[in-house]
Amino acid sequence: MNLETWFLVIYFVAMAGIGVWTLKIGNKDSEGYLLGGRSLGPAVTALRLQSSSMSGYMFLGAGSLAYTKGYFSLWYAMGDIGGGVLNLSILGRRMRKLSQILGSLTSIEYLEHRYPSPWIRAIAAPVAVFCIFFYVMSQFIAGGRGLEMVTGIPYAWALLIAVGVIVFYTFLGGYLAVAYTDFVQAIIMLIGMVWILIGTLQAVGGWTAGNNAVGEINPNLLTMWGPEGIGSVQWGVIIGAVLVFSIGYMGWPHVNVSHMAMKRPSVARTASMYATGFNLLFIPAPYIVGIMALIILPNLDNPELAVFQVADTVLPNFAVGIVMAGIMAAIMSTADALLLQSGTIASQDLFQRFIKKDMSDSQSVWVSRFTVLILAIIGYIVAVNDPPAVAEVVIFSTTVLGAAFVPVYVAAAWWKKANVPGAISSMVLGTVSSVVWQLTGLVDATGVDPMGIGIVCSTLALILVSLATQKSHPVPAHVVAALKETDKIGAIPAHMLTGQNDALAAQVPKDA
Amino acid sequence: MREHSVSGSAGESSLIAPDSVLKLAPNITAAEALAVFQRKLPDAEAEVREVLHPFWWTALRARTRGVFTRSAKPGSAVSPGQRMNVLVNAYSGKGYIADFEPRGEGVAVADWVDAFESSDQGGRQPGVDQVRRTARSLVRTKVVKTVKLGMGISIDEAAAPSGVLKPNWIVTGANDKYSATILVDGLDSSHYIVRVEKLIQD
Repeated sequence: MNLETWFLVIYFVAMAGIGVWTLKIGNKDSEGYLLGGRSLGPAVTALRLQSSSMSGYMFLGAGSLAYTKGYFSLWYAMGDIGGGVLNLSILGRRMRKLSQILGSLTSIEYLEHRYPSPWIRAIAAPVAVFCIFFYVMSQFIAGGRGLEMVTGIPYAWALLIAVGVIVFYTFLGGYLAVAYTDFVQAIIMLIGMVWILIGTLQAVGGWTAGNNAVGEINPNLLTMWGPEGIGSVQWGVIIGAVLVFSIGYMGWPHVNVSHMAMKRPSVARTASMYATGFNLLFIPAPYIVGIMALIILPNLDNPELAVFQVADTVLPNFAVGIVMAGIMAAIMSTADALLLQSGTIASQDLFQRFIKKDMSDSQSVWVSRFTVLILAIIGYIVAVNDPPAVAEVVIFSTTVLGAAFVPVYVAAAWWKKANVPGAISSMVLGTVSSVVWQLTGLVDATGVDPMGIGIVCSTLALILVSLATQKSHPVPAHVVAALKETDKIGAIPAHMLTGQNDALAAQVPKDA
Repeated sequence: MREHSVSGSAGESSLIAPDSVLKLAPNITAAEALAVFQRKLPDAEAEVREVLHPFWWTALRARTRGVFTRSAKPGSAVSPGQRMNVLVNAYSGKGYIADFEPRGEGVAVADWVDAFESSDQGGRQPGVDQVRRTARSLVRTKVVKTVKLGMGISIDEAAAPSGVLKPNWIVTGANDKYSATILVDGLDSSHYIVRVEKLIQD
């Protein structure tokens, strides 16, 4: 076994160890399994949010984009850098407070409590599970491919190992395990990426020398307008890249669940500082490495491997092992959060809500665990037999998620007039418009990103339908009261909490 | 502290009762408890009755001092520290730090014993020593969370354990679909669902 493989083995064992450890300290009831008992501090919240939203794209897609388009790719980085901070600033504190007042455990349940109608969950849950399943499958494939590259073992076995480790600790520890492993993974990702960046800049003789060399290949690569220059810029794509990557995260249920697990609403403010620091250090690095790869590896067959191949060239063997652990960390931290979220939606939002209403906490946890297992098995079978292209699946599923959910999540916390018909029409129109735009080839014809179209449609639908139906479907008084309380800074009054106080179980008299 | 004999399913056993007992006044009215019930079960008809739950109450005073602070000389001004009230459940022995000073009317110890016997709770009944240990441990944990590393902590008993009867409301009622009983906390209006039954099957 080579040195790189040893690092990966140590990494896998450490992640599985965290799973077992959190099994002992948490998840005695649903709130523990699903939200880590609402106990996460700012560092874990921020890094978990960032590592689960970055995915393997940062190591594979970002480097590829920079290798082919030069500094134009930084438009995407700009959107990404602002995404975490925007999400925490706009939704963080309010979603944490409102979800506790309304007694919500999952991000879909939160939507149903805010917009009280079973239709909300009946529409949101299948859309979310469908998209998340495809996204998680793409992460499986990326994980399997990464492991195959490092160890040389066949893809089918590499995929099995990657899926096995992810499922192992997601299965055992629930949200707490995922939150802590994501935290560790974010640090590994950061160390790995910064290490490659330093090694790369040393290899090309510094940033200035590197830029001069890139300029000799094609001076347009040094501009923000792409290899063909400003004349051929697709402004729709640029606006899409900045806006969609920055606000798109607010529509991802598996990312938003981080807000609900914070120890206190005020954690959001500190967490956004950590998220900014992480983003500034991490996000530009793969793009710069990708650009410098043009000098180090001018004839690369597959641009997606730019970051990895550069690492292999400029770093010593043991460092390549650590960096590979970083790549696997990016892939796995996204996959585990997604798996847990789809398990949660299936058990809480579909099974408990529509099939077995009187399910106990223990049964609910087990339904989540079995769902995770079943999804992983189906994902493995599809990924091993006929693996689709990773990038296409990721773009498709994130586009639909963003278009369907960004307006309803933002309005849930900020707009008191957002009501049930508005939310339903927003989710339906957002999903349909983004899917149709993508499948009918309108992206190429117009140069406009489907998520941008989806978000515009769903936002307009939410505003217009809500305003038109205020009299027939007013927002319930308890939701308005909860929103007014959410406007305030400070502790939630006990009488506002909808969830029951389990400590009172020890005060029930004999004749009750 | 006095020993009382209590008869139960496990036969005759002795109960450690406090020397004095305070009955706390409820912050939540019966009408507010009913409103909590009706928020869970809209349009429900319900009846409300007050129940009392026995707690032990003790107060501790926590003081902190910096690493380089000398011990106070006799007669010099000493920081008063922070007084914390701890309530310990007379059944489970679980405690919590109250954010209020217990106030109410003094009642007979027999009322505390009656309240104890009326509860259905199990578990090992805490003795006075355990009440003191639980309270000290809670206060220490709270102080340690906030003090800087290296600070000295001293915790002293400010009031010996005595009895407290905490008010709660039992609300029982039904609407056209469900019948339920919930316990509403008489101090902060949080609730616990004791029982719920569906009246009409789907």
